[in-house]
Amino acid sequence: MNDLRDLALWRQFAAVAGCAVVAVVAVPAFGSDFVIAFGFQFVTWIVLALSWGLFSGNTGYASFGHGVFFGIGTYAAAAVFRHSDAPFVVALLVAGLAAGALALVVGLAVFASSRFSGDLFGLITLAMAFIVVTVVSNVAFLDGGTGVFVREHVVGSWAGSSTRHLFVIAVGLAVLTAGVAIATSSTRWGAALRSIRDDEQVAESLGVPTYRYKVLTFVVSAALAGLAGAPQAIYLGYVEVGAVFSLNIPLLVIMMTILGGITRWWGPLIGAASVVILREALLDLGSPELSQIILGGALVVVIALLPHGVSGAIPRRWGTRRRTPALEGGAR
Amino acid sequence: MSLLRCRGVTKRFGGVKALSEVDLEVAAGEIVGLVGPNGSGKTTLLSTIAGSLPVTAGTIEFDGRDITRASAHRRAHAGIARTFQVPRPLGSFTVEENVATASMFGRHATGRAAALDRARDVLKAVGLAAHAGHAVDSLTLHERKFLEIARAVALDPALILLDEVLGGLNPSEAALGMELIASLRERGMAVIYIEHNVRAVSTLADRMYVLNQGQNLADGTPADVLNDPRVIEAYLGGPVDA
Repeated sequence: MNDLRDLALWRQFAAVAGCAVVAVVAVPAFGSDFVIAFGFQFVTWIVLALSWGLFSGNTGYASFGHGVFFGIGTYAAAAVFRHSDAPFVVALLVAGLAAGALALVVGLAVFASSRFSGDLFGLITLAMAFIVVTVVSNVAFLDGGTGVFVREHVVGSWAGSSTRHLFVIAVGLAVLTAGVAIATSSTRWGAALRSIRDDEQVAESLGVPTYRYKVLTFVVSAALAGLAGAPQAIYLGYVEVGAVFSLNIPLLVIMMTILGGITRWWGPLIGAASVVILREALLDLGSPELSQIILGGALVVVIALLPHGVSGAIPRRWGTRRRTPALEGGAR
Repeated sequence: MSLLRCRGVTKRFGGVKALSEVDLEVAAGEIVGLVGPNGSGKTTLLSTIAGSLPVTAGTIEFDGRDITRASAHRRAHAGIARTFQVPRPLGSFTVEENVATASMFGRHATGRAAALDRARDVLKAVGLAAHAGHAVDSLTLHERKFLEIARAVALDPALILLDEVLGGLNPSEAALGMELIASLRERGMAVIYIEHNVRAVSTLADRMYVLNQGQNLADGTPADVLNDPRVIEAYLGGPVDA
């Protein structure tokens, strides 16, 4: 992987890590409980948007299943807490593995046929959501229809003691996700994914093993969302199918990514920030319906004015022509 | 020993038989012209060789190995490159990135920097060096067609499948294209070359195959094939003074 010798990639990663350290030190030290809780949700959305962009943004295969992977992670962690005294790290790993395993099974099956590319892929991920919800609702080990109280199981454990810890964990996951996103910006991996988005048949003819790249990236994207589910389980305190697998989650994630733009790895990050802050600001209006309408309107305006999202509208270097380089340029 | 050997290649689309028991052989370093009227199955045959279409029946051997069921990218790694009749550049890649993708993932996969270097060399060879850093939508038709060839060459193939790369070009552009195709043989590549214009093929090809309605109609040297009454019949519907 001589791509990783690229200094620009490491500079970006250092910048992300630096921001993370500042956040981890400053937010719990100076923030109120509200700010920390808000920060936790904010960073979790960033993880979800970045990890969605990793697969769906790069390959153009729009997945409506990202909420499922997040939810599977949440339920997997809740099950670990409920049925064992294992430390948080175990729940975290189980959450990531469970989501990754589901993506592996779905990916191996769905990507095997070119019939399921494009719109059909989106429908299949939607169908997957309904199947998973039904299974979780009926398996007593996971839920069984009553919901799961997580708080009472994690009392006394490190991660369960405060939202500060959850915030630190979420920031750690965001750094990990951003690292993977950076690794797909201007590397061989990224070039493979974007060649799939442009023209999959051409990508194959140029020697790109498209099946392998799609399955691998789908699994990594899902596993990252699954990891984010573990602290979410503790944060929610009570895990319930209707809330955890709400369709609003994948739709918001997609909205964030489109708003932020997919032509650069940090587009989803900008999108997540805009949507979360806008949503919070609109809460003061007192009417959730009105805030939904304004959010939707904002998305329409951005798509109309900035087809490549907010990040795509920012010039790469002063004075250079506007283009979207796939191999170079992402790391700048 | 032949480089490529297709035996009894048959391709059905539903009830339609696009190819029916087609045989074709190509030796290393040979230019083979593949001609036939519209709808005779030329592009379909090319796609089955490149692996973008699975065959219904028959076998395809390349370099002594059975590749009938191999995926398209494996065939690219094995040394088969193709171009598309209507150019299909990767739209979000620059010209040189399009070519570099083939070097990065092709037969002798390289890192990004080496791939870009190699891409610039190939672009120079096809006369597109000045466009290296440009977006592909700035290219004219003939530049797009040459980009198709450049991408295929960057795979460093043993066999290159050209699908009407001269179609739609003006005479001076077509002449450049002919030189380019001849230079592929000098680089040691075998070429299967589909062309509508039979005369253009006959000047370059060592041998020719004629397909008609998805079946082998004739093959041999250009002179033999062009004088074959069956070929004249297929093209003109009967002996006519043209």
